[in-house]
This record gives sequence, structure tokens and C-alpha cells, in this order.
Amino acid sequence: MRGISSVINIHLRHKLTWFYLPWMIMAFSFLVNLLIGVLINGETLYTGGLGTIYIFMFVTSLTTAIQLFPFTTGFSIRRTDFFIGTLTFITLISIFNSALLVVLSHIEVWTGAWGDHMRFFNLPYLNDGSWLIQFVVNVILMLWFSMLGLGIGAFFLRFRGIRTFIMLAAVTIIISGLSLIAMRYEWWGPIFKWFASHSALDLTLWMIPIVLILALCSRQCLRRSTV
Amino acid sequence: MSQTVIEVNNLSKVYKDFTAVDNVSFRIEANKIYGLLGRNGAGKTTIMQMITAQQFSTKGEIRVFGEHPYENNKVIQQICFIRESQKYPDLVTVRDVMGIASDVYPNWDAEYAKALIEIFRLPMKRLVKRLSRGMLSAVGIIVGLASRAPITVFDEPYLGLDAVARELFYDQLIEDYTSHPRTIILSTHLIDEVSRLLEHIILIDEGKILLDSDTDELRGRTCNVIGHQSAVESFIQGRKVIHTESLGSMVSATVMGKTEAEVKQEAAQAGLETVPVSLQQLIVHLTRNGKVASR
Amino acid sequence: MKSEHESGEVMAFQIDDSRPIFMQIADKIEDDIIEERLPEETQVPSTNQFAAFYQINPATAAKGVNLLVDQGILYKKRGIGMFVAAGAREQLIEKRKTEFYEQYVVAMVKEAEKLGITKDQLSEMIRRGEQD
Repeated sequence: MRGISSVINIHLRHKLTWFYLPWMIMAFSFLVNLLIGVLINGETLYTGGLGTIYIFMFVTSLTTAIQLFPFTTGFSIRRTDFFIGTLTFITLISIFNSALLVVLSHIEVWTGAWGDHMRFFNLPYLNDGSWLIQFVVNVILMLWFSMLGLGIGAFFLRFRGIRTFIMLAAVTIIISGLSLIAMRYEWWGPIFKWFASHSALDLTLWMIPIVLILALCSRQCLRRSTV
Repeated sequence: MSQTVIEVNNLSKVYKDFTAVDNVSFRIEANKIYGLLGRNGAGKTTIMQMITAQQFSTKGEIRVFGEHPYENNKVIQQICFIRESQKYPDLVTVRDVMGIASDVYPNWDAEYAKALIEIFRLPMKRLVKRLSRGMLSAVGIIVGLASRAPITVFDEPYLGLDAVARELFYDQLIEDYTSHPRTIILSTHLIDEVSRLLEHIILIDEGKILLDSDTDELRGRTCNVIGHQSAVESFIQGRKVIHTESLGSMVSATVMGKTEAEVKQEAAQAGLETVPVSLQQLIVHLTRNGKVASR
Repeated sequence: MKSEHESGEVMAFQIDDSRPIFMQIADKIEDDIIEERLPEETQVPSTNQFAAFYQINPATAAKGVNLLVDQGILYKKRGIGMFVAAGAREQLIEKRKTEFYEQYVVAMVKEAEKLGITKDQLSEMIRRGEQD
């Protein structure tokens, strides 16, 4: 337990990158968009500012994994404890951020989209359903982005630069190839239809196994990593 | 006899193109100060990294407190390994590092850490990233001393430290070791400065162990035998000779015997002169002799 | 090589890296007893004090002190520390005399023989040496 709690404490010393920075940028984006909305005073603006927090979860998970692992390993902390501590911390901050987002989304509804100027926290489709559903969707999305970051970070720690680059390039090529094939055989239409027929909750529930697989892969990579 | 805390048998680490550690076996006993000596790149750090499970061995057996260290908190938390190349995250300050260390090491002494920070004049609020090389070394030394870990390893701990700071380190090490006996391993190539602190020496060269001996015993075993070429040559027949030098017809041979007194006496009977050899000289001779590293 | 620490010390005694340190510690204590810097029945510095003062391993310092305990030069008072034994000085002087004979006199006589110095010439030389 000492190792795990140490790792959580180390993450807590990095509140700037985990918490303050993403929310500061979100606040800035919110204010700028609101200002524009007020100035134009036309139709309600739909912004993508909400994406900031997800991108940050991805980037921070990636960079802290790469920076913290060599540090904690040098400070007599087990690889497993680093993994469990980091996973616990990411889950906690995802829950915290999601709760905050749900509250902000409700405030947005309550203020009538900030006087009908802008939709920032409460987006159609993503924020359909009850507050609980919104919360669950948020948590899973955040975990997905974090695990993607942690997974790439762990892969880098295990296999280093060149092989990580090759892995990412390979994944990009496979995805582009698949989308080309989808275009060739005109699958996009049915795919969009399928998406439309499912709610955000349905889709994010599908992400749970991916999150778990990413977490497992991260753990396996970290267990064989050296410093 | 003392309890064995680390036992290493036939340990090797082979990389694609070279062997960093080559079939090494040794024991470390509790509450002694060891010197893991050797030139840069001899394999000292790799050995310590395998003992602390930061690196994986290619072959061989490691037992620390009777158990394998890999992912073993019972072992790992008893070891404080201070590495010259320890990495720190960008955003941590000296204060953070001390906080984290107090969290990690069960025997951490916060009062002592505070005192050491004053002795070494470290700025608490500064980011570790912005410290000078010497200050960074001081951070490691403070963590190593204040952790009071049953096994504390200092791997080249004083890069960038000036003479005054190094003296402070030796003073603190002796003082704290006296009041809190524990196993300390000093891994370094600066032999002359630390040799008097060491109870036992393990000398590594090109991944192999050259010497594993009580320090004082080693000091008492070696001397230079000087005399005429033919006399010296017949004297050194069947003896362990570490080094020879010649000036004209005079030859000086560094001879290792059971005891220095024995060598001295026998040399005197053969009409040869003897001169003592310092530990530093002995180790330089031993590690210089081998062929040029084949890396 | 001289370290900065030592050159400034009051007690002029340099640890020599070519001889076992525990023997040097024992010799140092012996010298102090013979020259009465450590009179009989006075307390000797503790091994930890020796270790801190000379920056040496405490186990090495203890080995040096114990060597003298074994010879009856020092004795241990439970819970207090080490003391110089009564008669230690005399005992040491006797020991040193024997060593003096073996190390210097025998070697001197041998060398004198080699150089063809007669016994009379040798005693004359010793007398001259005393006057210098």
C-alpha cells in the first residue's frame, strides 16, 4: 500500500498539469467563445471547447507516465504500484472532472445556454439523457483518452523511441487503410446510421472493453520496463 | 558471522553487442560499508540496477534478504539506491523530493533531512530541474542518508560536488552510520578518497570481479619488490604479480602475498628491497593491466 | 595524496593508504601512551570518535583498539569506555625495544659488516650520533 499511496501522492503534487492547466484553458476558451457569442448576438454558437479536457487527459497521462516512471522506479517503488497508483489517480480525477462537467452542463441548461449565446458544456447527443447517464458517458470517455495516453507512454517505456514510432505509424496506416476500404465499398453510410441509432451511452459502453484492454497492455509493458 | 543481506550467484547481463556483467558472484553482509570499485563502464551500475530490480539479468541468481527483488516490496522498500543519473519530473521542487522520499522510505528521518539541507545549503523551493550538477548530487546524498534504508547504495554520488561538500558527505556518512548502522555500498571510481571509509572492497573490471576482500587485509598484502632484474625475476616465480616496471637493469614488481610481512621477510632474505603499495596504486595496476576494452 | 581535511588537523597524523589502517590506529594509541599524552588509567577516545576524527570506518577503528585490548594495553570498563591499563607504558616500551633491536640494530650490524665497519668504529659512530 505504501507504494501505491506514494504514487498517488506524487500525482497529487502535479495538480498543475492534471487539473489547473486544463480547466484554466477551458475557462479561457469559454470566456472567448462567450464574448464572441455576445458580440455576434445571432444564432447560438456550438463550440468544441469541451474537447480540451479530453485532450489534456490524453497528453498528461502520456507525459506523466514517461516522466514519472523512471523517477518512481529510482525511488524504490514497484512497477505494479506505479501502475495501480496511476490508474487509481486517473480514475479519481476522471470522476471528479466528470462530476464537474455534469454540474456545468446543468448550469448551462439552467441559464438557457448562457442567454442563448453558446452551448459549451451541454452538447446535443453527447449530453442526452439523465445527469447519471451524462456522468457515466463522461467518465468512460475520460478514461478512454487517459488509457490511450498511458498505453502509448507505457509502450514507449518498454520499447523506446523507434519501435514506438513504428507502432504508431502502423496503427495510422491500418486505420487509413480501413477507412479507404470503407469508402471503396460504401460502408460509411451504414456506419453513420449505426452510430445515429445508438445513444452516446451505448457507444461509450462499447468503449469499456477497449479501456480495459489498453490498461492491461499498459500493465504488461510496465512490468517489463527498465530505467 | 554477519548476516548476509545480498547474495549474487553467476549473474550476467548481456546486451546485443557486449557483455556488461560477466558471471559475477558475491555476498554483501549486514551493517558493513562496502566499496564497489572499478573504472567507468566496468559494470558497477548495471549490477546495482539488477539487485534493485531496475534492470533484468540475462542469467544468474539474486537474493536480497533471502528473496528475489523483482516487484517485491518487502525487499525494494528496504533499499535506497542513489544513482548519479536519477531522473526527476520537470515540475518537482527540492521540497517535493523530500516529501516524496519521506513517503517512500519507512525509516525516513525528516529532522535529519532538514539538518542536511542546511549543511549542504540546498534551496528548498527550487525546481530540481534548475539545480546545478553539484546541488543535484547533494539532493541524492540527502535522500540516501536520511532514508536510513537497511541497504543504501550510493552510485557515484558526488558528481559536481566540490572538495568541501565531499568532505561533508564523508563526515555525515561516518557519523550517521555510527549511530544507525546499516549496509552501505559506495560505488565509485574515486578510490583514494573513499578507501579509508570502506570495510570491504569489491573490484569490478570489464564486468568481472577482480577482487573481493577486506580492505585492511588488502592493504597488508601487497608491496613493491625492487632489485636487480635477475634477482627480482627469480623472486617472483610462482607468486602473484600484479604489475612490473623497469628502469635499466632495476625492476620493480608489485607482489601480492598472504601478508606483506611475509613478502617483506622473504624479499629481505633474497636481498631485495620492499616498498609499500597504496590501495589506490594497487587498484590502478589491477584495472590497467587487462587488454583494451573490446567494446 | 593529501586531502584538505587532514592537512588542517591539529593532531599531525596522516592515514597511510599502503598499511592496514587498524594497525596505524593501534600504533597511534601506542605512541600516545609511550609519550604520555595518554597516561595510565585515563580514558581513550571511543572507536566512534576515532572514526569520525580520522574519517575512517568505525569497524576498522574498533579493530585497532581491540588489538590493544587483546595485548592488555587497554581495558574496557563496562558502559564507560576504554582505559589505559596500569603498566601499559612499560609493557609497550619493552615491546618497542625488542622491535627496535630487530628492525634497526640487526639491520645496522648487517650493513656495517657489508661495509667492513668494525665493532669499535660502529660504537664510535653511535656515540657521534648521540651528540648530533
